[in-house]
Amino acid sequence: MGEAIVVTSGKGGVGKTTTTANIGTALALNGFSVCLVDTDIGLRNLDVVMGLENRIIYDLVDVAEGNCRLQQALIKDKRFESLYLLPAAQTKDKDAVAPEQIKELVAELKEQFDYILIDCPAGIEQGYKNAVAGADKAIVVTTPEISSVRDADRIIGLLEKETHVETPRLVVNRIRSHMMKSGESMDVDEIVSILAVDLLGIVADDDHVIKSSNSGEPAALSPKSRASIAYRNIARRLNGESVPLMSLEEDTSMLTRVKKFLGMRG
Amino acid sequence: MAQVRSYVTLKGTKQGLQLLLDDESPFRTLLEQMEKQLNDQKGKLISAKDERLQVMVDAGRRYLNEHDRKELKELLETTFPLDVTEIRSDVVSRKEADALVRKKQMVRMARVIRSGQVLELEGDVILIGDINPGAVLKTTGSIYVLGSLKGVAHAGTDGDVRAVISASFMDPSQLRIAHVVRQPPENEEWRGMFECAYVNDEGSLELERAQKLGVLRPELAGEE
Ligand SMILES: Nc1ncnc2c1ncn2[C@@H]1O[C@H](COP(=O)(O)OP(=O)(O)OP(=O)(O)O)[C@@H](O)[C@H]1O
Ligand SMILES: [Mg+2]
Repeated sequence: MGEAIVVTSGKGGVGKTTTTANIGTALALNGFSVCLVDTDIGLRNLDVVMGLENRIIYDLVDVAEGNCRLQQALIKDKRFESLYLLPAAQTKDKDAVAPEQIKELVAELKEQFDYILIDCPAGIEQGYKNAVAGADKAIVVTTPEISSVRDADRIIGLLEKETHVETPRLVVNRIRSHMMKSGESMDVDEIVSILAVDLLGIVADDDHVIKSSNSGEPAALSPKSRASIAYRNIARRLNGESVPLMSLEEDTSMLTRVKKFLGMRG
Repeated sequence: MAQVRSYVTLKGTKQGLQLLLDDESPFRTLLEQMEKQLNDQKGKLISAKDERLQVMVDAGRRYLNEHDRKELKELLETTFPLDVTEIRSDVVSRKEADALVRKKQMVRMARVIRSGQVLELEGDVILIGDINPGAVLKTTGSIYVLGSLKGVAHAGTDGDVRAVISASFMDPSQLRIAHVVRQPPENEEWRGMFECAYVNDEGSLELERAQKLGVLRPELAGEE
């Protein structure tokens, strides 16, 4: 029996879809069977980031409305045998499905996959409620900006009310270490201290992420980029391994790396 | 001859005139008899300077609801040259008693109050955790935060200016005590460790070291 993890943020455009695609890819890379579920009905793009857009025949709303079987709507990834996508409908409205239906659907997927990653739309309305309905765990994505952290806090408050969801964990995305160092953006410690939840990982702001999203090849596939390694580490932590927050997730010099290792602040 | 039952007793005290009411007869009887007996003693109800007399009414062990209180006050003030300053009773309803208890209670909670959340409570609150930016905590009593206060805290919501707000780390976006509001000054650090906010004698909200609370609010000192 697998576990369902919702990836959410409150604020739009902070990297939910990118995070879902990359963590999913990294988990598949580690040999797990994974299903990505896009609940952003009307604004789907997980399929684009995964490069699977052309293969869509049925979608989540079709399954919910009984137009097809769940298996018919699942799209197999190009690269991994064990990675699948359940796309969102592009033409329908967010109200086209109800939380209860998503819950049933996710329960069915849990029989089949190790991990179900649910990409949540921005906001706290119907789409959010749908995405959270079937989840056991939650990942909250934020960028190091006050408005994004504020919305993450709001979402964590809402998630705390969902008794079926474990305490969410945090991914701080699009970190620019030079701005963090100069105090121009919030630093990770400050964000974690406000949100008071466990940190699952930090991801640098990396051109490679944008390029790979555009080409439908998630960054996590390439072993080289900093972001890729960050996503792979997040996948390992999700699986219960304790991987220290390390240099390659950030753009730190060798000296601060050593300091970090020694438990000193960089 | 049977002694006449006294439904109303006039008593002069340091605080002024008191009317002690009989608490065993039915309320209707009381009103009738009180009016009659007061009429007989009208002479006592006139002040030297020809002003209306201020009286405090003590209903003893009689329960009076809102309506009864209004009726009693009206009768006294329209029929006699009296101003009723207060109607006291030894008895409160269970509902009123519960409300009183709630206002006197100490609420303890361990959690983070997050952006968008508004908590409205009664009594004093000890919060083990934070009030985050964008969050609001309101209560009728005082607020003590064992953690960071970064959002909005409103103490003494029923108008109690003696209420205080104290925090291990004070960096609020706004503080309110009763009707007094204060925001952090622009471009100025208004944060500190172990601070408390209170309303001073001039009626404005001021911040002090938490250690000063015992002096500013001796009722909190906790020692006789
Ligand atoms: N670590 C990163 N480095 C650089 N660019 C990134 C990073 N993460 C995300 N982006 C870019 O930010 C943009 C928004 O990302 P994404 O679509 O994943 O956000 P979202 O939270 O899913 O948005 P929405 O709320 O609209 O669903 C995309 O162009 C993406 O490529
Ligand atoms: Mg998205």
